[in-house]
Order: sequence, then C-alpha cells, then structure tokens
Amino acid sequence: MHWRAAFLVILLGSSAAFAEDSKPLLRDIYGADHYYDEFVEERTKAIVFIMLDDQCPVVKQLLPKLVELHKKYNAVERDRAGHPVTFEKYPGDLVQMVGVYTKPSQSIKDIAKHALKNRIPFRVLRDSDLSFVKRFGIKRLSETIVFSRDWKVVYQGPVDDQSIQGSTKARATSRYLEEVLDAVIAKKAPPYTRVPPVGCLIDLDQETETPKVSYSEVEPILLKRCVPCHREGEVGPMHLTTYSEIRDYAAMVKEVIAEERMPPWPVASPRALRNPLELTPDERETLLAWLDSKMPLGDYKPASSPVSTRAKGSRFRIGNPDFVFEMPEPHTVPATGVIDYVHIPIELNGGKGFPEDRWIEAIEVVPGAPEVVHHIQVHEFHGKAVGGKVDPIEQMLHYGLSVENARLLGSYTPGNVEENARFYTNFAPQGKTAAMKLTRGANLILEMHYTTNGTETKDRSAVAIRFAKQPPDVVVESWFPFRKRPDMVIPANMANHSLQDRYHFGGLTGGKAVLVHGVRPHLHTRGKSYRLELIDAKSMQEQEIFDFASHDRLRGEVLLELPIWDFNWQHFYRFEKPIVIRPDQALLATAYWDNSKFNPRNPDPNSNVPWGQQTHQEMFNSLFNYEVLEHGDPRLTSKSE
Amino acid sequence: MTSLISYQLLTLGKFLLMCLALEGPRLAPQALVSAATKVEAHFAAMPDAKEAEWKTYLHWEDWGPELSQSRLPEREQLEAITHRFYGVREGLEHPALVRMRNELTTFLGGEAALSPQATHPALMIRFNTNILSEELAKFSRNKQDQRDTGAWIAGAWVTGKAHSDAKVTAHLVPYGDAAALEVRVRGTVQTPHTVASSGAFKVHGSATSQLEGVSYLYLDQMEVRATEPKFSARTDSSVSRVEGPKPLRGLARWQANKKQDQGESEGANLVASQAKEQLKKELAVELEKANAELSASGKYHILLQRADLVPTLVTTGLQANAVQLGLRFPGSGAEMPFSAKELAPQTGLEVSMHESLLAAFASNFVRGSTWTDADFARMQRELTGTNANELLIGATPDRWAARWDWKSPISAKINSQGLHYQLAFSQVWINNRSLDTGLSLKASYKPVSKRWGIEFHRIGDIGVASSDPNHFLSDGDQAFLQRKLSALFGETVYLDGLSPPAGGGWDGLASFAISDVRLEDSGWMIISSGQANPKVTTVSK
Repeated sequence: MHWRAAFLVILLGSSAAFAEDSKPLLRDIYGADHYYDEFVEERTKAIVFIMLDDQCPVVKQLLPKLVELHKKYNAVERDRAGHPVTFEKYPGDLVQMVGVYTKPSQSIKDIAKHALKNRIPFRVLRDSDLSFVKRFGIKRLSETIVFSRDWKVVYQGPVDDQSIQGSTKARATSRYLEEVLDAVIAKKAPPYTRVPPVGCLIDLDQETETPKVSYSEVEPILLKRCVPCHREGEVGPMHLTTYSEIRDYAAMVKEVIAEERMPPWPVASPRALRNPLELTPDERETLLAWLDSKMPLGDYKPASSPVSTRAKGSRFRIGNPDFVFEMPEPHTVPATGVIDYVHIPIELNGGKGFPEDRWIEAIEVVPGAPEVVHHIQVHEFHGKAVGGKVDPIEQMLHYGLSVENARLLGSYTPGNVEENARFYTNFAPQGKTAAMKLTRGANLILEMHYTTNGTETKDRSAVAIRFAKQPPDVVVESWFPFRKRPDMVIPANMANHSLQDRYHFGGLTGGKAVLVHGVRPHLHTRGKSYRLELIDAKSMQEQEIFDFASHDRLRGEVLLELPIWDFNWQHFYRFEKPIVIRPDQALLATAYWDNSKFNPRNPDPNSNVPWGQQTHQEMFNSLFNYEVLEHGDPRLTSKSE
Repeated sequence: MTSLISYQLLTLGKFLLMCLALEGPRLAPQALVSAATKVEAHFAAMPDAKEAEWKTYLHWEDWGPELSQSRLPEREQLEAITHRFYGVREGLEHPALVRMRNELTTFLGGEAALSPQATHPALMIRFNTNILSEELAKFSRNKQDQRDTGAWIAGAWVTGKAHSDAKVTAHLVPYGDAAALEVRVRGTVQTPHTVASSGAFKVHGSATSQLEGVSYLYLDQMEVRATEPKFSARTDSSVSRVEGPKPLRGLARWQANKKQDQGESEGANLVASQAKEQLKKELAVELEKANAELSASGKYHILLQRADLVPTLVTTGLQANAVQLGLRFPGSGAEMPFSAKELAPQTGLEVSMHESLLAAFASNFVRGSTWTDADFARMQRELTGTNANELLIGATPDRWAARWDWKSPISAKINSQGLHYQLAFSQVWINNRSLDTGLSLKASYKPVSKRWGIEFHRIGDIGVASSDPNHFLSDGDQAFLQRKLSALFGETVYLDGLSPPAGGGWDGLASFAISDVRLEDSGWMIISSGQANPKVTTVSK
C-alpha cells in the first residue's frame, strides 16, 4: 500500500467525529439500530467489521477462518456452569467481530438464518441504507475494516491473500487480518494498513424498477396474513383492514415485511411445518413491489371481509364443544406497563376433575380480550394454585421432580388459526383416531401472557374441548424435558453463550420408537437462537453436552432452527410430516443466549443469569408432542414420516 | 419277607404322601388375615372404579383374597408387593392400608430388622441464630397505649387516664435441654392524675408502675406452645390533694397516706394482671398463626405417613450460635448423639444426615420391587437431568432388569473417606434371562467443591459381584453389568435434576445453594448452605 493512501485512510479514520445523525447505523437481528461505533466493551482492543453474504464464494470460503479467528481472540475457558474461569465477571470480547450484510433482498431473518446455519459466533448486522459501506469506501464483500478502541481505522482490506480475483490459492501466505490484530493487541504498529480487497462487488446503487402491482392483487394476501390480527378487537397494534389504513402505516408495513419481522414466524425449518404464518416468497415480493410502487389502487373492487374461521352455527372452530371452561374471574390488564406471565387455574367438576380419564380430540383456546392477549398455554393441572403459585408438592407428585411430565393440552397465539383450534384427530393417520389424554382428577391452568394497549381491559379467556367418545387408536403424548442445572449461568456480557440437551425418548417408552409431531422451544428474554437436530443417540457422549466448545458442531440432521429467538412469539411448531425417532436416535437441542449490552432485549447485561422461572432468569427446554410407535409399525420404515 | 417290608414301606410312603396332601396350604398368621379383611372392607366401601384401580395397583387379586381366607400366599409374592404400600399415592395413608403394610413388614422381616434400636436423631437441622435474630428483631416492638381506667384499690374507686409504654422483645434462649423463644415485656404505666373516690372524699394524686413479664414459646412435638406469662410490677404513687368536707380533709389525707402502701401493692398487682392478660391474648394470636403454619405442612406429613417416614422430634436445642432440631425417622437413628460444632459465621442453614437415614429414606420405596433399565434411566434423568449413553433405553438391543432385595436393598456408610453405598438385588435378568444369583453393587463417592457448588466424584470403580459367595458371574454377565451400572453410578454425579423446577413455589429453593459438605467418621454427612465460597472437608475421629 502506498504511504500516501495509508496516510489518507488514517486521516479519514481519525476524523471520525461525525455528528450523531450522520453516523452510519447498522440494524441487528432484532430490528434495533446501532451506531457502528457502539461495539466496544471493557476488554476490547480492536473492532473488526467483515462484509458478509450468503452467496459470494469468497465469503463462503472465509467463514471458517472467521470462526477460528473469533475463537483465537475471544475463547475463554469456562467452568461447568459456563462461567469464564479467568474472570469474576466477563469483561467482553477482546476483539469485537461484526458481520455486515448489504444485499437488499436479504431480510434480517435471512441474515440470522445464515449466521446460525454457519455457526457464526459473532454479531451480524445489516447495513440497510449502505451508509456504513459508503462512509468507509468499502467496495467488496469479504472486505474487512479494523478499528482501534478509539475508533481509528487501523486496517482495511481482505482477511488474507488466499482468494485472488477470479481464483483461489491453495493456501494463504499472508494473514493480513490476524497479523494486524496481533499487532494491535500487542500495542505495536500494524504491519498492513490497506490492502486492495477481493470478492464480489457490493451494489451501491440499489435502485431497481419495481413491477406494477395493484391493490386487488395484494388485498387477498393482507386479508390472509395481516388482517386476522390487525383489526378491531385483535391484538395487532394498528388496523390494516382498508387501503387507507395501510397507506397510513405503509413505511412501517414495508419495513417489517422486508425484514420478515411480520408475520411473526421466527423459525427456519428444513422440514416443512404445518400452518406457517410467514409470507411465501411470492407473497412477500408482491407486497413489497406494491409498497415500493406507490401503492396503486388500480381497478380495485372491495373484497369480502376475512374468511370466518368459526364452524357454522358455533362460536368455535372445533364445532360444538362438550365443555367450555372459562376463567373464573375476569383478569384486569392494566393500561400500561409490562406484565409477567400470569397463571390462572380453571377448576373442572368443582375442582375434583373428571372421575375418569378423558380423551381430547379437539381443543380450542379463545381469548376473552384478544386485543391484550399475547398468548395462552393450557396445561393439565393437579393441585391448588394460590396467587398464581402452584403447590410444589402437588406438582412433584404429578409431574415428577423434574416437571418433565407437565402436559400442554392446547394454546393460543394471535393469528395461528390452525393451532389455536387444535384437532388431535388430525394427528392420526388416515382411518385412525387420535386424542390427548386429560387425566382423571386434573384441572386446567392457563399460562397467560398479556400485553398492555393503553386501555385497562378485562379478559376472561376460555378453553373449549371436544372429547372423543371412545379411547383413540393413537394417543398423543406430551414431554417437557428441561436442561435444568443448579449451576447454569448465562455469564454477564457473554454474547454467544450456549447450552445443549439431548432428548432420548427410550426412558419414556421402554425403548420404543416415537413419532414427534411438533415442538415448542422455550427460552427467556436473553435467548438468541435455537437449533434442533436428529442425531444418532450414541454418536455423542453425555459429557460432550457440557463441552461448550463443541456446541457449534453439527451432529446430525437439522430439523428446526429459530435464528431469532423471540420471547414474545413462542409457537408450537408442528411438522407437516411427523419425525420418526428410532430408539437409537435422539434429538439434540442447542440454544444460544446474548447477554451482552448490545442485545436490546437484555434486561441487565451485567448479571450472571441463573436458571429460574422468572423472565429475568433463564430457562432452556423443549416441549414435544409425540406418539409411541409399536414394533412393526409401518411408519418406522417409511421415509416420508 | 422282603416283599412284605417293601409293601409296608410303600404303604407308609403312601400314608406320608396323603398326609402331605392333607396338610394343604399353609395357614396365614391371624394378624395378616385380619389386616387383609380390613383392606377388603375398605375396598368394598369404594366406588367400583376406584376399587378396581386400587386392586390393580396392589395386584390384590393375586394375594389379597387368598390371605383374607387365611391362606398364606408365597413369600416372594408378598415381598414383591409390600413396597407398593409405601409411596406418594393418595390414599395410602388410610388406616387399613397402613395396618396391612405394617403387618406385611413385620411378617416378612420383623420390626427389629427394619427399625434399629438407636434412638438418637438421624437428621439434624441447624439454623444460624444470626439469621433468626434478624427475623426475631422484626418481632420486637414498642407499644404505647392510653386509656381511662377505673378499679377498686385499697377500698376506693380509683380512676385516671393511664399512659403505658412497653417494649416487647424476643430472644432465643436455652430452655432446659431445649431451646425456646423468650418473649419479654418491659414497660411503664403512668397515671399522672388519679382520683380515688371514697364516700364524700376524692383523693387526687398520681401513680407510676414499672412492669416486667416473660413467657416462653417452645416446640412440643409438632405444636408451638407458650408458658403462662409471669409478670411483676412495682407502683409508686403520691397524693397531691384531697377533696371533701373541709373539717375531715386532714383525716382523709392521713387515711390516704396510711393506705398508700396497700394501694401501691394492689395497683402493681392490677397492672401485672392486666399486662399478663394482654400478653396472653397477643401470644394466643401468634400461636394460632404459628400452629396454622405448622398445620399447613400437614400435607407433607401425609406424604411422610404414606412412606412410613413420619419423623419424631427428638431434640431442640440452642448452642453457641445455632438453634437445632433433631429428628428421627422410622428405620433410622444414630447410636451416638450428634456432636454439634459452632456454625461457621457465613452458614445460614446446616443439615446433617446420619448414614442410617440415607438408607432408610429410599429402602421402603424399592424393597422387593423389580426395576427395568427404563426405571433406572428415569431415575437418573430425574436426579441428574440427563442419561448416560448406557441408559439410552433401546439404543442397543440389550435390556436388563433387577429385583431389589427385600430386607436390605440399600445400605450406606459414611466416613471421612467417603460416602459408601451398597445396593442389593435378589434377582437379575439380562435380556429376559434370569441369572442364577443375586447381585451386590458397591459404589463410593466423595464430595468435591467447585465454584458452582458441590459435585460427587466416584472413588475407584464400582464393585459388581454375585451376592452368593459360592456363585460367580460369568465373564460376559460381569462385563455387561459392570458397564451398565458404571453408567448408572458415573464417575461424577452432579444431581442437576434436583434443582428447582419451573412452575411454582420451588423457585424459593433457588436461593438454597449448598456451600460445604463434610463427611465425618461418626457416620454423618453435614451439608451447609449460605457460604460464599464452597469447600469440602473431611473430619476424622
């Protein structure tokens, strides 16, 4: 690099005293914006931004090297609890690494998916308006820019010299980035300051012609995907039922659709899921094209209102239920504030429960005041609950010490029409019946998540159940395994902490295979992402579960990924074709937490967070619906299941 | 001759055979029969569905009716069923079932075999008085009161506005051999203007009483009681003026002065008596609250009753900085009293378990029962939160099961070297093939401190051996069981599964962090909590 150019770059970097409003902003996977120069922590010596992409071959080749570099500078030895051994409190990363994506078609969900799939351990952000790349004259994907702690540009260029334009060398001979970082950490002059970048060009002029789309084409999409929640009396915060209402919020609608924050479906599943809430790629493209082309009304004729989801002659989709259980008293939701989960017991048969086991063939959970009901989980419940607290002894008797036998019967999530009215009959193969057991003597308990909407509101939600007349052919079971460790800690300031749990069904079934219909992962507010794999049960030893360094290693087939864990949207994900788990197989769940100050959802980055039920603590569990497959069941050999 | 002898022998043989045949089934002891009859009657009073459920649970039809008809079922059958009378199942506390359980237990093993004669506590719970003092400080209060009073004192009706100012304090104190809560009241009652009316005269004056009283609250088995409060008071009074017919005022004043001592004495008694009644009332409220809380723990009591683990409160006591409760459970007890040491200042709670308790707690649940590998796997997941590879049931085709010994399925020994367990199985199956011998399993652990708490490390290998000294396991069976049971009793045990579960009150236990585990040669494991930096110590004799 010529010394004049280097001098110019340093000069530019050192003049980084921008006015706040002109400072480039980068968007995180939660949709929050950050000034690029926020990313420094107590221990940080250097900050590296790397231009990433999911297609560029140079970037693809680079990813494993970046993972290794991150490990080299930031790996810390952790004790069994996950606490860094050498620090009383983790002071942050030595080298902050930040991946930046620029492609206009990539949503933040796409970015998070890419990061999780490639086990990128560092933060990934989107340069939505290209202000960052333009500010620093970044031209190519894979290019890196290194800042010192006081935000002076130290280096700009490729990671190493392995990739040359249009080709690749067998191995790198100059490791520019690593050498620069080593020098910065050692407080020495960096050996390189600028090297010409290699990689795919970043398209800095992203203006494109958008196809003409009329309101008549988008209205059916809106009615199906948006209006069920965004209308009078529903939980969606603004109404999107008419052209003018959409026009009022067009910018916001465009943003959340472009970023795939709405409809809320924070999952990426290699296996098809039933009733996905997300827009199909065509629907998304159509909506964005319409929003980009000044929302033409065209020859619009008003369509009918959203299709009714109720069965004819019934207030319920499941038809006429045998029982409707309502909350005993309306629950008052205040006008403002954040409300922790509320547990409300519903007594059956005067609190005694039914004298015999009953079989639920359909269950529907109906919010009393949908405008404030964020979600409802209905569990079978034994014992008394006073003030939302469940009697621990009763709980232990029925659910075991570990509470793994807790049973989820049904749920309500706004917009999730199919799962809100769950037909267990649909869990059975053609010609068979299926149901979930409601144990004799059981009551129900509703786990209510309320949101405030500016008006004090009374809610009296209800559960409607249709019982089967006969015991079913297929019994749908529920399993709620925990990674429950008294020593579990999500260390303060740790941005990518992970835990694993291996779920083997053999202990429940006496060694038989199972058919897993769906899963509901559960973490708390610091959760970042979640992955579920189908593995050969004996391919990993028990102690490997506690080996933090090995958590990124893929061990089997990925069944489900939640690239952006969202505490607010805890869906039950049901597989289109249920998964056969043979006795020699297991499920492996890996969850990641971001307890750094850069996680906008983190209530307190400075605390070492223990396991606990409260949302300011953390949990890690997965709830499964499954059925036992008897030996010789044809589905054991069917690849389609 | 020979044929005659042969004939006679044959006849004798036939006769003996006939006698044997005539002997028929063995008669059951009357106590067992009577208990079984009571159970029959208990079942008969139930709704049909409930009766069927109970009979299924107890495998009743296999042995109950036979026993009711005075025939003795096979011993093995009774051994296999008895553990089902111990457990958490609702209804096991019914007197008919408790009686059946006790009769079975006595018949099969004899009470002496199950309940050691040792009478000293097997569980000691000790609280740091510092922590309790903080709680008791909340109990201390000042009370001010003002009221119009009227009473006959020294033959006169005395009225006046009394101002009382009392301080109530509570302290832990030794109470004989036990500990008690001393509630002490100290105060002053001032009546700045008294009027003693007697006939046409009114004597004006003032009075001040100093009073002190005490009552002791103590635990009598599972009830809190209070001693009768004892109060003493001293009253000082003065006469300021006398109202009445003028010529006799002097005489009246002389009379008043003459009766002053008597008045003061009666006044003091009155003050003490009123204070005593007041304290009794207040203590009654406190006792009701405390006993209500104890009664609320009745459900725990029922659980213990079902498992035949109802504790007996053996001792309470107050040492230098600890209040202690000593409990003994059926089937457990120490031969020597617990030797208490002063608690470390940072220890809030110390729980000490005698080795006899460790065995007694679990034995009733398992004795005589058959566990499959799936049961062992479930137990491991419950306790540790995960399963070792060898306990992934079905992952390999091999299956196994074991029947717990009836008499002594679990025994434990504690010394400064470690915690030594021995499990005994009367029968073992590998892939449905019964081994010709029972099995004994020995495993020893020692606690090791880590930053996050305590974990248990196995000492050496587990010991798997035939329980019959004349019988050896085949190499294949030995290796198989060694592998499976080594997974069950792993090299490190974390007990993760026992951390507080979600969904309720157990979250309160989240703050309970084990900080120190000590093993003593006297057979005690001492677990402390509330200490910042965990440590492990072993104490030799």
